[in-house]
Amino acid sequence: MNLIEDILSCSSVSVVGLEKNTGKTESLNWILGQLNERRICIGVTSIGIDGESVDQIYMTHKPEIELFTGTLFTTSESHYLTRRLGSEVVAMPEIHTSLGRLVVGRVAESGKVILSGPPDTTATREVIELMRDLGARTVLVDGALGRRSTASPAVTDGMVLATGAAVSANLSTLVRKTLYVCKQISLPQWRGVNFDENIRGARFLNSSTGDIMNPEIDSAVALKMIDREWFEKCDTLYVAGAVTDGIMERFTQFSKGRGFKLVIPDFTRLFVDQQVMDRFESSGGEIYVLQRPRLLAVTVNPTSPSGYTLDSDRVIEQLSAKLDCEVLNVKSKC
Amino acid sequence: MLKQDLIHIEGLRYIVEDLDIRSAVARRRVLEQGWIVSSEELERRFDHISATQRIVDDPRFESLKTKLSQLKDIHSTLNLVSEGGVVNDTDFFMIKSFILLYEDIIGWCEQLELNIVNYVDLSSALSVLDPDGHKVSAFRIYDSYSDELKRLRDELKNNTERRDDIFELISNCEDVIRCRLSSELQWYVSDIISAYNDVIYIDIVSALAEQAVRLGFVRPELGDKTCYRDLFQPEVKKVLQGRGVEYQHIDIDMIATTPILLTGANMGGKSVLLQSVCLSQAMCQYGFYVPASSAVVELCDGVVYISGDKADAKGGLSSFAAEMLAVNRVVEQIADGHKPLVAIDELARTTNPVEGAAIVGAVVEYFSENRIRSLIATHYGDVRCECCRLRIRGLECRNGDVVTKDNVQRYFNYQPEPVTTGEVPHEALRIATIIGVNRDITEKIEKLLTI
Repeated sequence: MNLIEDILSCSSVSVVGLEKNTGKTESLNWILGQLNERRICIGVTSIGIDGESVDQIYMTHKPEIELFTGTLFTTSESHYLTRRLGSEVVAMPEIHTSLGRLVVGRVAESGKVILSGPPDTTATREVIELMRDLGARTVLVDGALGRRSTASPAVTDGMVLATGAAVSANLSTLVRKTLYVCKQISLPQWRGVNFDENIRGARFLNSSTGDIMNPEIDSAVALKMIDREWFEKCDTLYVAGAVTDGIMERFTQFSKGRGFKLVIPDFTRLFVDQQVMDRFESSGGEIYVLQRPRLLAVTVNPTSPSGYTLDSDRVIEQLSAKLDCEVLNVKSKC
Repeated sequence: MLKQDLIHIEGLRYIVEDLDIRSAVARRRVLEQGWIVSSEELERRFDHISATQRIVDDPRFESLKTKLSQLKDIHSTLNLVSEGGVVNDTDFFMIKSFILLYEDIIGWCEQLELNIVNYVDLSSALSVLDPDGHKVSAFRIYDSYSDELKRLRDELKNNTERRDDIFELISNCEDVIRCRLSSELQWYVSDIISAYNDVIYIDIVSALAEQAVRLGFVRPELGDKTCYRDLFQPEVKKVLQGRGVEYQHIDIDMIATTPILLTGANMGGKSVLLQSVCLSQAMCQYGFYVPASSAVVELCDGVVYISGDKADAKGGLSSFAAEMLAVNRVVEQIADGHKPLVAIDELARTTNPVEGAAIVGAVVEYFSENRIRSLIATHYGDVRCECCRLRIRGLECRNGDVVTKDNVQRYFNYQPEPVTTGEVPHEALRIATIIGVNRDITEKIEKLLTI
C-alpha cells in the first residue's frame, strides 16, 4: 500500500478533516491499524481534542482513537488519567494546555484514549521531535481545518485529507470544494528571501533590490486599507496572519498585471473563496507558502451524519482524475 | 523579598536576569529570597560560591548545568504526598524522574568534588517507584506490584470479549496500589523534599559563582563598616562599554555614625555612585558577591533609595510632597527600630534653595543621631550639619583638550574625594555649553552670573 509507505517516509503526518464527520478519526484508526501490523513504533497526538465518543453537535457515535502496544502518544494530563488502555508515562514536557500538562505515554496494553495535544505550532513541533527522540519513526498528528486553533497542521511533512458527504450532499460540490483545498495544500513553497516565521504583521519585498520594508500593519483591518503605493514599490508581500476575501481583493485590485507574489506561513492562513483566489491568480498574482506539507492521500467518507450516502466510487473517480495522490474510501477499508 | 526590591534598586534586575539559572523553579526561588541579616548564613553562602567558582571553567561544569536544567517543579506533588494524599501516575512519574535526576546531579558533583550539600540516600524511595530496578525514567503501575494485577493484564491480552469488564477490574486494582504507593512514599517524602531543595540550591549557587567569575565580583567581608575598592555598577558599565567608553571604578568608605553628603558637578556620576552602593548592599544581603575588587560590608536591615524623579507622585502630589513622604516613611521605619542603608539623590531639589539646604541638614542630622548609614547627594552648598563631605572631582581638562558632548565623559573624574567645606562646584554653565545648549541661553546665564 503506497500510502503507508509514503507515511513512513515522513517524520510527521497530519490527518485533517475538511469538515467535522468526514471520517478523519476512522482514517487515522485505519492508518494506525496498518502500521501496527508492521510492528513499527509510531507516535500520535492531536491538535485540539479528538477521540470523543459522542459528537457534541449531532449526538452521533464518534469512533475513539485506538492505540496499539508500543505506540507513543501525547495527550493532556486529564485525558491521560481517564485513558482506557494500559500505558506508562515516559515524558512530561513543559507544555501546558487548558486540560493540564502534556503527557507522553507508551501503550502497554492496547485500548482507547482521547487525544488532546499541543496548543500551538511551536509546541506541536516540540512534541513531534520529542516522540521521535523516544523512538517513534513517524508521528501522526490528528488535526482539523475547521477547528479554531493556534496550532497549524501544516507543520508536518505530510498530510492526509479526509473529505466526505458531510462537506456536501451534492457530489459536484463535494468534489469542487475538496479539489480547492487540495490546491491550497499544494501551493508552491517560497524559495526566495528568508521571511522569519516569528514576524508579526506584514512585510513588503522588492526582489530586485532585496529590500524588505515594514508597512507597520498590526491588524487585518489595517491590511485591508493598505496604500496602493506599496504595490508600486514592491513585488512581493509576506502576510503572517489571516488573508481574507477582502484583503485578497485589494491585492488583486492593486497588483493587476504586475505578477505580484503573496507569501503566507502556510495554507491554513487562507480564508478566501475559490472565486476570489481565481481572480487574484488571473490578474497575475502568485501565492507561496513557507511551510508546505506533502499531500499524501485523500480519504472519502461517503456517509453524512444525517444518514445520506453518496456514490463513493464516483467521488473517488472524479477526485483521482484531478489529483496526483491516492484517493480511497476508508469505510470500505475498515 | 528580592522580587520587590527589583523595582526600586537600580541595577538589581539586570543582575538577576543575567544569572544563568537553568531551572524555572530555582529562578522563582531566587526571586522569593528574603533579605539575609545573619552573618553565619551569608558566610555559608559565600563559602559555597567560593567552592563552586573553582569548577566554573571545568568542562564537566556544563554537564552539571545541563542536568540542572531538567529539574521540574514538583513541590505541590511532594506536599500532597506529605499530607497523606493519593498521587496519580503522572505525579509518580515526576517524583521518580526527580530521584533519578538527583542521583545524576550528585554524581556530577562528586566528580567535580563539589560538596555544598549533604547527600540524601533516596534508594529506598526509588525502590517504591521502581520495583524491578530498571532505573528508567518512566512509570506505570507495574505488574510487580501485584500478582492479581499481572493476572488480570494477561487475561486482557487474551480475552477480547470482556475487555471492558476486565479493564474495570484492572483499574480498581491499580487504584488500590496507588493508595499503597502513596502511603509508602510518605515515609520518604521529607528526604525527597530535602534533596529537591538541595538541587535548587546547587542551581542557584552555580549561577552565582559563574556570574561572579564572569563579571568580576568579589566576596564581601562582613564587618562593622562599609568600604569598597573599585566599586562599579555592572549595568551602567555594560552600556558604556557598548559605546566604547571606559567605565571608571571608584573607592568609597562609609561608617554608620557619619552620614555622607555628596556633591559634584552635573553629569558627575553622583546618581551612579548612590546606585552602586545600594546595589552592592542588596547583592551582599541577598547572598551574591559584589561588584568591586575588594569590599567590607556592614549588614543592615534593608536599602532605601529615594530619587526625586522616581518618587511616587501619583494621587495629585507634587514631586516635593512625594519625596518628603518617602523620607517620612524612612523616618517611621527608623523609629520602629529598623536600620536601613539610605541613599537620597538630590534631596529637596524641587523647593527653594534656602529651605532645601535646611531640609538636607536636618535629615543628615537625624540620620547621624540614629546611626543610620546614609548617602545624600545635593547641589546645595550651605548645608549646615556634622557629616562626611565628599565631592566628585568632576571635569579634569588640560590645555588644548577639546571637550564636546560626545567625548565629555572621557574628561570626567568620578572619584569622590573628602572636602572640608560646604562649597559646591560651579560647573553647570560649562557643562551646558559643552553639551550644546543654545548660545542665546548660555550667554544670558553668563551675563547674570557676572552681575
